Amino acid sequence: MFSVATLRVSKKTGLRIVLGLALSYALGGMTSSAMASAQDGSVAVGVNISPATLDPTTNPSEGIRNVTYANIYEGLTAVDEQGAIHPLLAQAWSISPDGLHYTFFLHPGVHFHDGTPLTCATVKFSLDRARSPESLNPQKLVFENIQDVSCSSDMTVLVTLRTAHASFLSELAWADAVIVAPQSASGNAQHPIGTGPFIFKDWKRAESITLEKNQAYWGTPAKLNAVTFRFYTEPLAAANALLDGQLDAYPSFPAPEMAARFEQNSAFVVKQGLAPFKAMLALNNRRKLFAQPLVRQALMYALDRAGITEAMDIPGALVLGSHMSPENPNYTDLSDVYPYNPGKAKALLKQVGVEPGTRLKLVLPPIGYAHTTGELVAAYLEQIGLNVTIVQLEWPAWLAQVFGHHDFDMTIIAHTEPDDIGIYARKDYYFGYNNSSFQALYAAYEAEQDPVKRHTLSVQMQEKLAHDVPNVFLFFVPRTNIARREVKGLWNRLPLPATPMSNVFWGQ
Amino acid sequence: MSILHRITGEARFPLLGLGLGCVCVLGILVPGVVLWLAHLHAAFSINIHARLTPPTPSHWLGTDPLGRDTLAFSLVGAVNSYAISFFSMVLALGLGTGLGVLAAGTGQKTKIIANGVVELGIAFPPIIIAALLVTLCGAGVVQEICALALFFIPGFVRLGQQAAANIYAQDYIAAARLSALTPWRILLRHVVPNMVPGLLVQFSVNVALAMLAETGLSYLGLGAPPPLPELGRILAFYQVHIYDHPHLVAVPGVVVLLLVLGTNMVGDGLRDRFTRQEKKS
Repeated sequence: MFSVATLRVSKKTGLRIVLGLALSYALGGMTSSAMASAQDGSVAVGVNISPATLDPTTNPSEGIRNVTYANIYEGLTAVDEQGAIHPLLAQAWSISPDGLHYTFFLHPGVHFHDGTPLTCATVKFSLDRARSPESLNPQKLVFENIQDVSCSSDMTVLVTLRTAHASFLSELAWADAVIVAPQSASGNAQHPIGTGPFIFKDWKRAESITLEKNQAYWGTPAKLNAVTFRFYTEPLAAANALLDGQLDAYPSFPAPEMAARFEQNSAFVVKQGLAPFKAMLALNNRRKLFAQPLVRQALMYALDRAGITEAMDIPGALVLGSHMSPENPNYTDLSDVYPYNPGKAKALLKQVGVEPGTRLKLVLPPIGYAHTTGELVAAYLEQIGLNVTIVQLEWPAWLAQVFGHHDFDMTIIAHTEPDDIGIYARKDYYFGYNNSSFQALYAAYEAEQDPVKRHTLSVQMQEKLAHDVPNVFLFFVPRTNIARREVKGLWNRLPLPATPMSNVFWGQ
Repeated sequence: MSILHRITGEARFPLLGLGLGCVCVLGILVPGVVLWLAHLHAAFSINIHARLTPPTPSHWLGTDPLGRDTLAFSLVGAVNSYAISFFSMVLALGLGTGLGVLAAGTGQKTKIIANGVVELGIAFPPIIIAALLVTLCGAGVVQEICALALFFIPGFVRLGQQAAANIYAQDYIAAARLSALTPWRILLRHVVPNMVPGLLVQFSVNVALAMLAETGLSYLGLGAPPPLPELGRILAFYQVHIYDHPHLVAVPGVVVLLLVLGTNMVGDGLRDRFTRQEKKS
């Protein structure tokens, strides 16, 4: 009987545990495993989502991006910690005045980990693969706007867009747009090969992924010799792994409730950082019920979003009113458009003719914020007479059911992509919002090059969503970054999901 | 023989263990059921603006991270967990013992089937059974009861088979056979009634074990889905507060402890009573 057997600790084992504890206290300060990793130039990093594949160009999981982006794979452009766009595989570019023609000049001397050189043909292959009819790219709609990719020389890529799209350069910095080689692309899901500062070495599924320094890197080489990403689904296990030295850093610690314990511990540094995070109760707008704006507004009135945000227990958490979080320079606070008012929510439901006791299914992915918020949402919706059944799924099942087959009523999910308000202009996206006036606003935003006018249009888009509420916008939380004091160079602010490791090193 | 049993089972206090066990179990379940009934038709009173409060006269052990009364929520969770364990054992008892008794009373074929069931059941850890059921049928109370029952059926098959075989070997069965009673009559009149004491003891001990297993399953998220409170999931939900509000983890933990301990003491007490009766007779 599994639960009983574990309780039977023999006297000998008990003694060993006591001795082990005494020994670890005697050593004090840095634990032995942390000292070992400092000496051999390796860092063990904790991450929350264990990826199912390692190819970000075919799967939207954040887990893939946290491990591979900027470490294994690289794109034509890159973002820095503040979110500014920089050249990477493309060392320079020019854009035609009408915003339709892009010319990229590739960095010379770039090789993939298997020795394949980077040429225009590789870039053409990557972009064509992402926009092809068979493409599985999570951002396929972005790439479908590419009309043509051609090579004027080995190192010069010409990209023609169908319509002007001012976000194109920043979208090329997303993990979905990394450059992959024709001969290795199909194997990337299992054995990723890119141009980055680290080479894939080993993957123990659901446990860890190890990367090694790319000795032949074309740019500034990585400072570490190796990085191991370890996956934790239990916050307590994650905390213990940090405390006992199995981990050196945890860039998005899953239980900020425990941060105080690390703040008191001089061996660790706790920092909060901005990163795109838009938690929401996503509604399937294809369902008859949620196709009615009044029902969606009723849900906004029904939830005490300030309370839900408070329950996250994270300093710096904010109530969101639209699909944009405060790391974005265009962010506008629209959190009070529909203040908590259950009476009004009930009245709206009655007006539309929604029967009390209407059953709704709330599908939850396996992540802490979704569980806490899910129970709260169910309780609040019950107060306005809706009956909520909670279904908890593992990530692959959630991705298939919600993202793939659009088979859900409601789900709770945080979007962590940067500047992704454009998903509301895609009627085929998983929540199925189809609104022509928003689509027109977004088209105008992407056709506009002038930053001031773009800002105005962005605010208009946010306001449109804040009033029409295709999804119930919930909250933003900053990420909590915990690391051993000696681990330097981790990004505190994160403009997109990633754990860039090439500048990380052991200091004093 | 456990130390507790040695202390409480001495002749001077023959019913002390049984009594203490009942106090532990009923002391949790009675207020639990009252609260359970009170919350039957309402979402459990969540109040985010009064979360993690210290103990007050209205909330004896304070409130939890969602502002629910920690003690009340754990007690309701205890009722759910105990009911799930109890009914899974009823199911396991019925199916397992039935198969065991049939195997003992009839031919070789049923014996082979019974042995097959036992070996197959022992080969599958309950977590795998539970994970399989949750994947195939989704999470739910019924699935959890079935997973737990499946795990305990082999034990009951063995017990039922052995106990029935012992009884069938008795002279009074031979006498019954000679007086031309039908096999069914023998089974119902003579075999089953004589098995009851042993089964009752095994049942109560297994409820305690099932309770631990149920807590494990719901802790791992293989139990019934929220918002139905179950002790394991309550523990898992509270555990991130182990450093800042350690009593939160202690409340459901102590409730599990008392329920399992109490049920075990009831089982031990029952066994003592029955063995004493046997000695007397």
